Amino acid sequence: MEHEEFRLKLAAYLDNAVSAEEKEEIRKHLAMCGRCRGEIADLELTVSHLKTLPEVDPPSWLADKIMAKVEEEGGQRSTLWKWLFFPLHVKLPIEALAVLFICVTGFFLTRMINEETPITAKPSAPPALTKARPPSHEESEVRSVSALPKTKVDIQRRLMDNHPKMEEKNQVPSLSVNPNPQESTVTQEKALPNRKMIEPELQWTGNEYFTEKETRSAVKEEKGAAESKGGKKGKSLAGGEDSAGSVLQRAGNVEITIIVDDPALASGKIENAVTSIGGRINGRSYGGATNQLIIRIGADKVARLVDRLSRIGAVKRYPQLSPDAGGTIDMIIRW
Amino acid sequence: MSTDRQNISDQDLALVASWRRGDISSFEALVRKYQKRILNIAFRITDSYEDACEVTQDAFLAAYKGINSFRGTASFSTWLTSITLNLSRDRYRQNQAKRRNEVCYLDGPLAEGEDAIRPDIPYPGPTALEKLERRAFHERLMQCIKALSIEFRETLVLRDMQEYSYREICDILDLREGTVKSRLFRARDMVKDCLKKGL
Repeated sequence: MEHEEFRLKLAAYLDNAVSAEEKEEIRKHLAMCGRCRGEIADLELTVSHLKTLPEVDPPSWLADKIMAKVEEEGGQRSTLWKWLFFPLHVKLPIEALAVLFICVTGFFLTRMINEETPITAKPSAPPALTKARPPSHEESEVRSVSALPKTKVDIQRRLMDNHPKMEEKNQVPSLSVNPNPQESTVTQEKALPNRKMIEPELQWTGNEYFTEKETRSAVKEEKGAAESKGGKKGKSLAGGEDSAGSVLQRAGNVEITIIVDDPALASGKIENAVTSIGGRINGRSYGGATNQLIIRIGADKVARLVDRLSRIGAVKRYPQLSPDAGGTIDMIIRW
Repeated sequence: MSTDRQNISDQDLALVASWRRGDISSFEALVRKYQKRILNIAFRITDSYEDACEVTQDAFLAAYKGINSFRGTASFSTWLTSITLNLSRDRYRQNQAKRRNEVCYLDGPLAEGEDAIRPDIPYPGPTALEKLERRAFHERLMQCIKALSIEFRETLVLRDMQEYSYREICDILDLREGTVKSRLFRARDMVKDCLKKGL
């Protein structure tokens, strides 16, 4: 060690806070270095002076004042405690009643909120729902396409849309024209990428499945009904949905439309809803005016899917399926 | 010595446990036991008896409120001293800032208020002359300590006046032993030089 290193350790040496090895080294150095000997003597004297500095006595009131402050602190807590709970025989029943009141209010509020949220559509439910609540602007727009009475041309076009052979024969563009001449709404129906996977033999007409032939006869009946109704267009929106609107939906190709606040945010939730119940996502189209998800799902899981979707947004268009429908279904979810 | 300290520490822990159970008299026992030590530490750091009294009150109150943060890994006195040093340091810095902003009077220093609390320092000695000499020397020593910066001052106070071990000082100041040794050497060296200049 150098002289400066020894010097720095002199204070610790004085306090006996060095190792035995260091102690021996310092001792040897002190025997040789007169400057360090003088320094350690001075340090020792300084320390002894410091130790002689008299201590100050605390004022007699100090401990009492500290205790008074502490009791004041503790007193504040006990006052709050007393204010909340004492006397017990008065305050406990009041507090119990208050808690009960809060629970009951909460229960009824929850029920009210649940009643306001759209209920999952069962196959037979839509007419009742439509009657119970007047349709909003958005709803009426959706129904203007799907629920109003359709003409034969319209229905045939849709059938051809879903049937490749018929599409080859007749080159009519896949446009759904609102048969109502007064409104003349034209809606472009997007071609489905997985359309060929759909079984064209079965058509869902609201309550039961029909073959293509039966569908055509249903179309004729529908046409007749529409003619007999004459100008009474949209007499019953629910009725329209049950009859002509449902004819268009096929067992293998079902649509659900949801109104959501934040379409981007809803995308993930909808996908989760589908996959969580065992559905498969076959395609997605995000970013346009309408987002859509093409899925394949077991027919028995459709009700659960609708239930989950109704928690994400307001389901405006319900899938029209037979309750005893089996197998898998290709479905489009729009929002 | 270490057995005594261990006994004291065990007694303190028993008092703390009792205080935690709600026995306020245990806390009072700790206050009465440590008030002098805490006051002296605060006094040497803040260099004001009045401030030291306030710091002592604040330190005990902070200990009372923060007893849940005392885990018992160090002794109660170490924990309390650590609180006191933090509060003293804050008070010292406030006073420094106040002094910097104070108006300087050319006709001499401001007279202390009559209601200011003054320490009653005992000066034992056989004769009046000796008492006076001793008082003058201690005042000089106090000036030397006052001249030290806060980190050297607190190390010196803890070791040479309160006789804490190096290990305890490390715990209180949250420093490594090497740093404590180095600070202590520097502090003693500066006081030694200061005293030599004055004598």
